[in-house]
Amino acid sequence: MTYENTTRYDKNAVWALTLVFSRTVQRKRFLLRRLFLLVVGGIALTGGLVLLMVFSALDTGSRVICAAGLIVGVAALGEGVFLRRIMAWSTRRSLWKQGDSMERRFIFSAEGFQGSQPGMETRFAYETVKGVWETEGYFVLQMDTGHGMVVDKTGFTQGTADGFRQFLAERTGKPAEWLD
Amino acid sequence: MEFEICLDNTIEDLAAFWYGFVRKKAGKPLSLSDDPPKWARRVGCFFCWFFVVMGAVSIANSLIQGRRMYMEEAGILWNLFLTTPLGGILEMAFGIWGLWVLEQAPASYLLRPPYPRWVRNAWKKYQAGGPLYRCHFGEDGVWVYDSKSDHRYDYEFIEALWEDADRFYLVLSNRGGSHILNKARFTTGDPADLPAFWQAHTGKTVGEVTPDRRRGK
Repeated sequence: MTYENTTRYDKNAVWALTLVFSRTVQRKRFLLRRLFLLVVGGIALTGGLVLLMVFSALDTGSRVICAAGLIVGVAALGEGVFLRRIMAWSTRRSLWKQGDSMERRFIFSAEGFQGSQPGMETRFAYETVKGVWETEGYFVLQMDTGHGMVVDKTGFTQGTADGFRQFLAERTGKPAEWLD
Repeated sequence: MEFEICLDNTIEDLAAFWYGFVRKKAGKPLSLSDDPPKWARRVGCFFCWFFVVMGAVSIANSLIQGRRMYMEEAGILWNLFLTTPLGGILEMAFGIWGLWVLEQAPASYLLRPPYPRWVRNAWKKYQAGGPLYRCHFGEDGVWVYDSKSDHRYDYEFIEALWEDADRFYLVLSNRGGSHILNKARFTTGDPADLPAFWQAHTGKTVGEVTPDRRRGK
């Protein structure tokens, strides 16, 4: 049985990839980064607000520090709160800047699978798949700690998403884990 | 015609890539010799012996003078070093360690790194990333085989091929990175024929890596 799929790396696909990685293999790094941003943002914003309360009594240097604290605080807190969305946006932007076609064609056969885009193709053995996750609209295959593939459930031109789930579990030995 | 190159890179290959492509400052490449210059070794030895001798003097002094060296205004830590042999022991240990480093590791990074930091980091990543097996130039494109996957690139999507005396540098599209093709590791085909093959398939000439070329130019 062969499964063929075309997946557009649009906003939703990259979001699924980011969601899976930030909740699984990169979870620790993601949480540490978020914690750092929230703590730094919280301290800077609190300091800025305290200085703002006595703004009229401050000299020029302290006013600059107050403004800087508020700006840094809001920026760091904002990044901490929306970190996952920013990461997804940044991934997509970097693909776009690299001239990526933003579309992948996958062929999964019994021996292995390949992903292709204009000008290049890559073939993998199923043993190289480290993990398989499933979201509402996508399958995500983890190849290593920083590299994954997204397969759109609605993008199958041969086979179905349900059959593919079963097929992938048999070939990789890793049943897809569901992530909301 | 086909070419196949073993991609068993060494740190010297990465260093050559750094000098040719990554380093922003142009000019004559630095020596890759592992031996530090003699003056650096002498200076290192002098300071190591200085610590050894001063450590011994400090130990003797603390034993002879003892609590008479106690200073009220100094903190507990300083007085610990002044009135006991602890400071002298640490000084001596540091000096002996330095002499050992000079003796055991003449190419010690303490004196002068034998390779630039970028090269050392790239070498670590290269070793951790799993082996690259080989690169194959054929009629259907360029194949790169590694331990995890096989990649094929169409010629029209490959950015450039550069050459210096010992190596070719295959620069893939922006996202594919680069590969170093050592001329001594061609297992199929003659390196001298690759530029003509490249030009026939891409219409581009092979660039020459010169000491004054800079990244992006």
